[in-house]
Amino acid sequence: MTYTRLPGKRKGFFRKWTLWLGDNHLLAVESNYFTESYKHFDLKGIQAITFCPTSGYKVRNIVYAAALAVFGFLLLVLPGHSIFLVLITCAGLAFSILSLINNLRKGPTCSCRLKMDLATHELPSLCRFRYGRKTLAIIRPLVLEHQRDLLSGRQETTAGVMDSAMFAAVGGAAPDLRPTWQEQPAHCGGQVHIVAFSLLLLAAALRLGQLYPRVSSLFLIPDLIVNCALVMALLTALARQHGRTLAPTAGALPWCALIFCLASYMFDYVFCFMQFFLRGFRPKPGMTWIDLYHAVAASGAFSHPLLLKAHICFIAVTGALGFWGLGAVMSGRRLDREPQSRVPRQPETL
Amino acid sequence: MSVESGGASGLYCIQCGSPLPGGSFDAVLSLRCESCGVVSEAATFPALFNGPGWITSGEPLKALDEASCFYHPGKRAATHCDACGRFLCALCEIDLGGRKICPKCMEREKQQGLLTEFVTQRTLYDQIALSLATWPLLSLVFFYLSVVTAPMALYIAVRYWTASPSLVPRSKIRFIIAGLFALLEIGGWTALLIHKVG
Repeated sequence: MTYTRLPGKRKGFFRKWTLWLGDNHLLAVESNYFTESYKHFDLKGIQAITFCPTSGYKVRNIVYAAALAVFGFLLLVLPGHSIFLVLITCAGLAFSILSLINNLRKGPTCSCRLKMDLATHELPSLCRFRYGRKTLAIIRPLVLEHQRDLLSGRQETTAGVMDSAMFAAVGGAAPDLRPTWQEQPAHCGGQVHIVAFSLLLLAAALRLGQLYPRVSSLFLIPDLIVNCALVMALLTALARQHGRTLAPTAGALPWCALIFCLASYMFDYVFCFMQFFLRGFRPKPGMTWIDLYHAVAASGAFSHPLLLKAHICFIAVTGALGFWGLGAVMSGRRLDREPQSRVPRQPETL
Repeated sequence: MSVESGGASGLYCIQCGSPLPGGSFDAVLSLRCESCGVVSEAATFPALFNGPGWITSGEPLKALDEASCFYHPGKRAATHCDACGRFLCALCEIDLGGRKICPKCMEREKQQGLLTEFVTQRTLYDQIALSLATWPLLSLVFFYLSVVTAPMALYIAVRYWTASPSLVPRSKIRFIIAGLFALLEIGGWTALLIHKVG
């Protein structure tokens, strides 16, 4: 028997839950590191699959955002001489950001129940709506195919429970498998996306200003503020676009921008600090994080050829992403305003 | 196409256990619980609306020349066993992965371990071997335990090499890594012993 892994996985400290699709049944696997427990669910016997929202998504978002705020605050107020603490705080900040992005990417949490003939079972692997919908899109046609004989009127049904129109529809007409969640409201015009992409352009402009040595110090603090705002705007855009209809390009660009920006910031700061300390700089007691930042950043983009190249690369990429994103969102908005009849609807069949 | 799916054969809210409002199997539904207000998404299938009515006890013989069930001579044969070929009534017919078999064949195949449908647990020997080979090294403090655990890991890797560790696809990479680590550890301890004695 061959099994295909279905989307969704849940991990505990010593346990892991996954769901597999066999020829004619689902296999729920619970791994306890040294053993595996199985539950077989015949596709013929599946009566219903229900997803109920849980609060895990919101709670995790709040926890990670709080951790992000705490680490961010610590990073700003920590004295410069405790560089070890700064590094620890940076690690905590990076962990919080990555956890928050990961949680936003996975989407809202849910509890999934599978109703069979005799009992209802929980499927822990489908703990997110995103995975549940993907899994359902795969197995739903298969379940209906396996239960086609139940529809054909061969079996008796409980009077009053099943509508006669249901049988009438079975004679050959395939049921509409289009999930209702595809009928989500359109994206809220993409305002957050517009802000995020505009901030990308602003960040590129500020970095461009830092290339001029005489005025570079003027751009330092605005650059820091815009970068923070940019990350927040991108995260918000990603959160808002989840589960909404949006042009594919406009939906993918925030991910690219966020990954690029974070990688660029990491490189800049790590490289700047490495350069700075390798040149023999020692933080003075009582020096704040802002002073340290000023001292490091004042060395400018010309302090090392690699840093200059990274600066130019950042300007080019963020500028391109900003223009591209704004164009994609604007074109998407124009499409939304066009009449519905222009967009052909693809019929889905079994 | 709407039906009442709440009640005896219906769906219930996961949060509060109240029956959910009606639904149909032609779409994935968003159902709001009238009791707690939680909106659940549900996909329902024809089996939900069929109820227990599909279970039949087999039809009685109507004429003497009709084929009868091997286990119930008074009932009409509906099919035959794919394993032993005996005629079976609707009550004796067991559908296992598309095969129709009788209860005796099912019991026999179950005892022989041929039916994966009845496997509910498997031991992951590759994981045990890997843990025995690597954990003492990773713990650093208890590395000397590898004197004992390395031969054990090697034995398990060899003994259960052909055993199916899992129902789902799983490679033998853990066995290979465990075997290599165990051989290295045994080689190291042997070299140390020779060095000390020599």
